Amino acid sequence: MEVKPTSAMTDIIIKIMVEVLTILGIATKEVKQGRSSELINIYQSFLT
Amino acid sequence: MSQTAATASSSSSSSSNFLPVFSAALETYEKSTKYKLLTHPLAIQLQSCDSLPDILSVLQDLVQQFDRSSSRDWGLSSWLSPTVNILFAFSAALGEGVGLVCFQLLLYENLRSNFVWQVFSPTKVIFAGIGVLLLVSIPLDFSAQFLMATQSVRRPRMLIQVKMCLLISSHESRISSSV
Repeated sequence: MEVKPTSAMTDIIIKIMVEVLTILGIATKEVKQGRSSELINIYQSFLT
Repeated sequence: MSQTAATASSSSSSSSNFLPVFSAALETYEKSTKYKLLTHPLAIQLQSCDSLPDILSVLQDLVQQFDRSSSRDWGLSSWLSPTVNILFAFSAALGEGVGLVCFQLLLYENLRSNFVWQVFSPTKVIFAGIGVLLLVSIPLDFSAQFLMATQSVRRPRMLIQVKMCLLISSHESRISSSV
């Protein structure tokens, strides 16, 4: 049996989706920064 | 060339509140990552996926790429399916009346182009976000790892600079070709 979501349930779903997007943004930014510094380290190690 | 806007609010107040909140979260995402999710090639690819298996297939390809290039098993495959399942269920619960509009340029294989309005469901935006995270997480080519391992070997400076440029461009082209 399919349950129609109440307004409270919809609110929670909305909050979860917004949180998921926020976390994805933070994780993507961190990985990008890590990758950039990794490249800089490789580059510097070759120049020295 | 894109313009985003919230549109098509449903009858419930929750849904009409949702769009500004989600748009703000999307804006924060774009500011911090410098990726525009609505115009990202991955989002366009996901836009054509109507079923759960289609979406899973696109993201599974990225997970496999990540697994192939990583020496450690992160167990990404095991969390991908339940995550996508839950988000897909959320999308169904919110209904089809909620979407983010993006005005974008589509390029066709015959080099013709056309501007179209695309309506993205918030869940597809999140799926695109998952895909972008997987893309940026795919490690550099093994050739880069090889270069790191042999860093004690001295080489002419110019040759190294050229190799690094080739390495970076090959990584970038791999990312763009994979989406």
